[in-house]
Amino acid sequence: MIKPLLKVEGLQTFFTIKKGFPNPVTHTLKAVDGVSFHINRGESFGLVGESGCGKSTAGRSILRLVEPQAGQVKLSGQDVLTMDRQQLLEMRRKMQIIFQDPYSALNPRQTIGRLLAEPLHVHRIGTKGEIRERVLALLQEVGLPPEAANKYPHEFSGGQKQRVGIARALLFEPELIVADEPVSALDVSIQSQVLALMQGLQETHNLSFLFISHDLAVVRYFCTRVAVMYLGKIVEQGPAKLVFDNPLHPYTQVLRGASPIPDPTLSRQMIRMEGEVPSPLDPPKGCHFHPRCPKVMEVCKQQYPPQIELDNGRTVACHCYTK
Amino acid sequence: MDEKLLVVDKLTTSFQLQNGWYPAIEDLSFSLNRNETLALVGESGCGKSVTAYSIMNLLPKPGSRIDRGRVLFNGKDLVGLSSGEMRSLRGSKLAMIFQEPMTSLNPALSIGKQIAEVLYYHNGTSKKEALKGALELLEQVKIPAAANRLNDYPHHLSGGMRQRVMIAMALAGRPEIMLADEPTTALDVTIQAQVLALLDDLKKEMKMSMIFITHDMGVVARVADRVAVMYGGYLAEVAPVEELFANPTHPYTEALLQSMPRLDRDIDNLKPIPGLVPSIDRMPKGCRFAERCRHKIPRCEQLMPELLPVNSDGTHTVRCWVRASQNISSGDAKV
Repeated sequence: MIKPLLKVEGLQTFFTIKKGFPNPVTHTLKAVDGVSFHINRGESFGLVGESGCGKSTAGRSILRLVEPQAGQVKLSGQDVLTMDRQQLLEMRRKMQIIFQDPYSALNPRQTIGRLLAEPLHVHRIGTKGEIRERVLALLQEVGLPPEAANKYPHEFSGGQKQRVGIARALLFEPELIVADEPVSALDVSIQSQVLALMQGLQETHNLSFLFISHDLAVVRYFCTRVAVMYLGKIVEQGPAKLVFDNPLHPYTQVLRGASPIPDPTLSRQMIRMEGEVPSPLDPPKGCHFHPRCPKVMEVCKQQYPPQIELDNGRTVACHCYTK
Repeated sequence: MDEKLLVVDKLTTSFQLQNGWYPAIEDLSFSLNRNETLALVGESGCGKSVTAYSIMNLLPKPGSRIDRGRVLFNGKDLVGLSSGEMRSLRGSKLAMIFQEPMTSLNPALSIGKQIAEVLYYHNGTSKKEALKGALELLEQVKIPAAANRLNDYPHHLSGGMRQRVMIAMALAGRPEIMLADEPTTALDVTIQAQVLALLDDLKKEMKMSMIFITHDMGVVARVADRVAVMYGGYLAEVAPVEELFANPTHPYTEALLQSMPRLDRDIDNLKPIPGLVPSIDRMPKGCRFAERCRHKIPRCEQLMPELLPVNSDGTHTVRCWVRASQNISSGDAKV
């Protein structure tokens, strides 16, 4: 059996929030509450869910951009969460991140060339000339002209800025890239350009992606396996095509049914589900999804369902499948 | 026979940049039939929102102007109406909802009061009656426990609920036409599905017509009766929704549909559209899409083609030298 590149086990990230005036009460927000998954080398793993489900926090916790409370994150067998600062800096070279909004992720007062060279200077990699060459090679790789090095972020379109973001993530030849909604802010025709670029890079660099997105169609296309999150927990996991073509968890079914499909003969029968995602500050007892679930049973209101392992590497957390 | 409620005729709207005026939409002609949903679809900068703002006379001034063209509503030209006349139409006969409800709602006013305001000004009801009306409207847009929500402020509400409040405000004047500018783009998919379903129900209930602006082809397939695809300020293709998705004829529409990942089927390789949307001060001569088009011929870069019918009953029109101009006589210029 192949050893996974990244193994995440029981990851928990909580935030404390003070609410109320004049006597604020401290609440605990369980943004990520016991999330486990693994990513193989060269694989794209999707993390999907609606806003507030904890998918971005999970991605950031893995890089320790936010500090998790508990759990294990192992990259090539090394535990990321117990590392000291120096080790972490080294480790971060192997794990990089691309953000959703390329506008706010780039320093507006630095040229693209400086912006890309700076991390190399910080890590003392190469001479000035070598760094310059590396930057130009990277620009070419992400499909930007060499002149781009002397331009400022505002001179680029959204798609081009995202290419710069990708170039920056590639600086240290990482093994894993956490891509947090990398194409959500882009126009449709630009989205596919960036997806194609990421796919090409994945092949040439044998990269692994943790691909965080709310867009099921993009995830189905880009990722081999996927996990669906709801209020801090993974409710279903498995090969992307199987999960989306035959969703098992009622929430995945609803999500799939609510996603508009560009085909007027299909999309007129979209599922309707009333109600909204409850506040993650106070998730419902038992299965978090039970108040909105069409298949709710008595047990769902009492107990959170166990992860049930099924064929084809699928798991689902739902009482419907306990036998 | 379809009744044309709104006719947009050769509408051209320009914006002022540092070095002159540049058209954001040009020679735009389309009509909206009664009880119909027309989707205006396109990417950022294609002019879809400018079209709606031009119809509603909500263009930012100074800095933009309608150069020429007409907007006929029930036979009456809206272009050049005085601001007073337009104000009485807006909110009563014509209503608009926007993408980001938080920036369109007044954060310092309870939602009940905001909705009541519309009733008070447009229908001349008393303030007390108007509040009662606001409650009915909130119930109509299916806000749970509406009576308790009247005194809530916008920040108390979730994005989906705010959009419902916006819709309630838009409905207050019982409009004949609702212009919806990306009303569900900021919402999660399950909430989007709820809002789209609500709009569907309300449209039937109140016999409204709708112009629905979006960039999402999936949403288009869900809501539209007819679709107008825009590119670079021009209409590229207009067709009934089933026809458009079955026979996308303009190379841009076709490329757009081929460049999208699909949830319902396997795609081995996406076919991205190369290049970028041209900016309004650097519009190419001829067909706006020519430089990105796989099918271009020399003429494309010289002259803008006309919007011409490609099917026998003339409901499907396309602006393309390659796909629509030469075989109009044969009736069907399918690919």
